[in-house]
Amino acid sequence: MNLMVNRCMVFVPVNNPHFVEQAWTWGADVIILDLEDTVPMSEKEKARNLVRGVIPKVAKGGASVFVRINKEFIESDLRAAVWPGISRIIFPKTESAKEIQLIDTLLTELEKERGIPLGTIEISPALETALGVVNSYSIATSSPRIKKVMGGIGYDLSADLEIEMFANFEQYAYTRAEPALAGMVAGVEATGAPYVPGTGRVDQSEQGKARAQALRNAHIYEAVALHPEQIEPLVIGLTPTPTEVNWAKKVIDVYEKLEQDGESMSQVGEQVVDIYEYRYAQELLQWGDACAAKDQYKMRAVAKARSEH
Amino acid sequence: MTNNMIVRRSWLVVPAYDVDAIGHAQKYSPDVLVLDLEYMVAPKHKQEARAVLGSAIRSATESPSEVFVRVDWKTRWCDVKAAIYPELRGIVLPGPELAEEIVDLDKLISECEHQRGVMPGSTELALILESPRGFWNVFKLATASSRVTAVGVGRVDLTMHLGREPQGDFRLYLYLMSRTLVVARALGKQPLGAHWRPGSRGGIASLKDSFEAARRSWRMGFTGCLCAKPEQVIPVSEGFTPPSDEVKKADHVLQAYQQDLQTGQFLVEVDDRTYDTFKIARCQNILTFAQACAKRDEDKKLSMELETQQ
Repeated sequence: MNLMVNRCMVFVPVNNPHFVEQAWTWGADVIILDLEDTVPMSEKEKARNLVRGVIPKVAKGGASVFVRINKEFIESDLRAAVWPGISRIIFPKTESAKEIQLIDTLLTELEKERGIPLGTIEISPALETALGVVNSYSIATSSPRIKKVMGGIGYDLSADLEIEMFANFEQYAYTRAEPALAGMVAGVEATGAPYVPGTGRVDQSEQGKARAQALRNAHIYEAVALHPEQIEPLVIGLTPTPTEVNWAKKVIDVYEKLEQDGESMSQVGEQVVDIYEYRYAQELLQWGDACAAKDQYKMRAVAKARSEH
Repeated sequence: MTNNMIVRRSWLVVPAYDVDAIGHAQKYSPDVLVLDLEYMVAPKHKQEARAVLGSAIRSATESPSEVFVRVDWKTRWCDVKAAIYPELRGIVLPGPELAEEIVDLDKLISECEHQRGVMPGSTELALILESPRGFWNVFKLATASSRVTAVGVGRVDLTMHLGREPQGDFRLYLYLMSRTLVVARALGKQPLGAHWRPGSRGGIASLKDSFEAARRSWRMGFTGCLCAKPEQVIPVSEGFTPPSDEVKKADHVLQAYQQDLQTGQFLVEVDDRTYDTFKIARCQNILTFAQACAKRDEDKKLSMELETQQ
């Protein structure tokens, strides 16, 4: 399990000063500075020149900073985006391992040039076309910088497949599963979110809670907030609860005693305790610790930023 | 064809060292009895389980069930060496990932067959997939040895930590089943697996859940699955046996079709529904498998009666 805590990510158009100034107060784990869809073509050049100065502003609340670049402007976008403080590049509509390898090479050059520890900037490919899904295995294995694969669903993919975006999500059965399996083989997590049917009248906070629950159930711990009001419910909802932590501790106790006695299976109430439950429990505790560390880091950063205001 | 069709719906797993458990399991007369050296055998019983395996296999074959041994992937070498006897039908291998593993195991089995006077090549391999790499390589795995006669979906909700979807299935589960089924059918192997849903975990699943998991799986094209407890044998066998009303209907349609054939019709109308060659083939499949199941059940019953008389 990847222990980088990115429970809730939110897109911020680099060229929108209002969002840029406010973003640190939102409480997201990650701010994704966008150079792609939310920036009109006429503003691309201006947006690129803004990235370096914007990084410290959006990071003030302890959020990690990612940048989403354009498929058409790989080199100029990377030159504009790769500065200390950036930890991941999101590459939309990835279709081949070649594209990722090019990004990997450029990242290495820029890391050297700009004093960033080598190999530390991640690449997250987003599979948003049929070709990207077909090539998911070669993409997932194309660079050690890849820890997460996004996509397998979404507007761009539905457009490319010429299908409806919303039809109970069965239309994505294969496009979500194939990259997820390919990713698992490569040791990369797929974050393509499960479909949560809307309630008609959209209460964004309720929708955030429902999404968090669905993501938890699917064992996916990374999500994009589709609205600022989804941020808090996603952060809280993707963090283990005290009840879960206690249960995990109990499972670990019971299993370790079993092991000492040369046994391998037991039951606590209705629940089975065995090697599988033991592994989940360990993962859950590690994840809980990582979340707590991230929350503390964010809290201290926010306190510092407020005192400087 | 009916006479030769192999029917292996219920594969009941029992700890190989536990004589009482084996005796108890035999009362349920599963199609296949799987003596376990893996999950159900705690570390402190592993040695003992291997040591008594020969006699366990012999006593297990006194029942009408076919006998397999489930080996532990980590200790597959000594497990296989302990398992090869003339009475053994095959090895259940959980968690294979690479074709080379199958090739190597095939060689070892051949050596053991030679040493123990077992007919060369007669020991089968049932591959149970449990990891991402296994599913990714399913075609290569299934073609790595001619011993492979079954390919199945294992306890993936646990081993792959799948989680579940809001729509009610484990994440990726239907895809993994479908991927396995396609390869199994393409290569003429038995597809194994039950369509489990979240909330019913193997050993503690209710009988109703077990039946439904098997029936849904049969509808998807699978013909058998592993059972973690003896009580599951009956509902699982029932789930994988074509339902009697569908069998009756298939029989009815086929008889009408036979009559119509003589009049040279391509489409047959039975009870206001039109049957084309595809639907006729499906009816034939259902009927053939149902007859094979009935024959298997009859054989098992006779053999159980004989045993009680003795």
